[in-house]
Amino acid sequence: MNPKIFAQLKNDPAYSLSASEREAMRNQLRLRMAQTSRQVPHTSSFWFVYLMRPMPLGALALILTVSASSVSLAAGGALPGDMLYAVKTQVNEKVALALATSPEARADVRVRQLEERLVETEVLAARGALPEEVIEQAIEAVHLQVEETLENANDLVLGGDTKAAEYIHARVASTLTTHGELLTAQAQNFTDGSRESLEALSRVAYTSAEQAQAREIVEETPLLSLQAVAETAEMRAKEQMEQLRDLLAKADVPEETMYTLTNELEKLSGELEVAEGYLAQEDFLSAKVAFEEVDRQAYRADTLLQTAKDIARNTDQEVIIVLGAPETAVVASEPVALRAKSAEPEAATAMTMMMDVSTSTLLLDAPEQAEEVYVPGLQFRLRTEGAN
Amino acid sequence: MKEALQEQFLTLHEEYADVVFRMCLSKVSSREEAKDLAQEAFVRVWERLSKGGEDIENMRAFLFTVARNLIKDHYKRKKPVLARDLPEGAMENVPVAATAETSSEVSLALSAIGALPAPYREAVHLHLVEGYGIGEIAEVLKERPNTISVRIKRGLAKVRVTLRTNTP
Repeated sequence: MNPKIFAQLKNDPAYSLSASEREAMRNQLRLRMAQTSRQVPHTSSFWFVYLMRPMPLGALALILTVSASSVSLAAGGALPGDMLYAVKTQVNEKVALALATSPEARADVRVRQLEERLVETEVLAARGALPEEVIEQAIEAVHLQVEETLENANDLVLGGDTKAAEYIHARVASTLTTHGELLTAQAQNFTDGSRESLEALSRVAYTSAEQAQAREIVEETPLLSLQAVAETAEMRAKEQMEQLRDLLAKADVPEETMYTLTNELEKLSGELEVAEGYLAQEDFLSAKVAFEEVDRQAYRADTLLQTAKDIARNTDQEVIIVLGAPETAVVASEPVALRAKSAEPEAATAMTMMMDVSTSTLLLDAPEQAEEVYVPGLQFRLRTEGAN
Repeated sequence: MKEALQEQFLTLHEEYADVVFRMCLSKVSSREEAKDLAQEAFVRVWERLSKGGEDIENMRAFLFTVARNLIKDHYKRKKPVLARDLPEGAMENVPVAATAETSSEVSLALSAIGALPAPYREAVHLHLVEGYGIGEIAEVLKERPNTISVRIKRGLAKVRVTLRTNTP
């Protein structure tokens, strides 16, 4: 008995669904899904607790008409302390994780959920109210999700897909570094215990990013040629650029952010062309490095844009992203000039932050005008329109 | 969110419809019954998801468990004699819905697998037909890898014995 013969059964029409059978099953499933969506939500623990509370008849009727889908949808943007936050973390996120069946998909979901905890913290920090338990929860999430994500990456290594594992490591490191920078910058807005808490979270983010980088897989898969690796990097860089372009097209962002990110896209397009040049010359190693750098930069801009949108949506502040090469951003007069140009008389709380993360030194410039914190390659400015 | 979940779930259906169908087909006699059971498994999983699905940790394992339970219910309703209750060799002539392309060797082997006691049959089927590794099978059947390894080994030994006995 040759066991390999059995594998062929998967292609045997007698042992597989035909295209029409599959289509029929799919349609039937769609129908049943639509029916389920129209049903009144059941009393899950959340609904049960809520419905048990005494309330006016009208309110009860209103709640009963809210479908399960809209509850789930509304919960998507919930923040810690919101009524629907438990639905977001206990239902939506668990379902998303359960639906991801491959190690790669699970890692992807986990990175997004890790990022969600950090963005929630950043939004609350931008609002100025930061309960200690939110920080604790975020620190716990960083530890847990990083561990689990790297475990997923490890599964990929065991399965022989070291490149996919390496990519996951890079994504985790990049996400944590970008948010670590944001949190460090935001900490400067506080003078109380929240400052220490944010700095602590930021340190955890940096340490975990290092942990992800340190675990970078050096083992080279012999079957994967350098050309294939470079081509995968090319595909990822292009997809990431496309995603950033789409996001920017749909986003309602301040003019300065639009200008900055449009320039960034143009710059990255140029770098992409250079990388393609390497590929054409069959210099696969240079091509790989160049594509990965484009991917990293585009992902970082994407992360910043998403976070800026979340903060803007959840606070009364306008968030402006100013990206720049570290050497140009070092010039203190540039952000000051930018601020002077854009600040209206009523925008009295305009603030530009500059900080040297590498030495953790605060470089204060013109402190009588504003607090200046320099972040190499990144300036993140929060401005409250019309405040005081 | 719900729409996105529906799309994700349809992707899951696309990926696992055949696997669940074959899993059912290996345990029921007709293709139509296998299709109905597979379809019902997906519907049940979706219903659970739409009610929150807080208890689902591994979607694939959950899907397979639902399918296995449906098969058990199916047998209870039909009140057939379960394969494991049959005397050794009683299922030698169970018809196997194979096409002309399926070799007679495979047909015989499938009959032999069909005659295995349920725990062996599931492990051997997932291993041989679906190509799952021991770790994956342990995960979906919620058993220890060692247990699965033993079941596959013993199941295959039984299949070999049956084949030797039946091969002219």
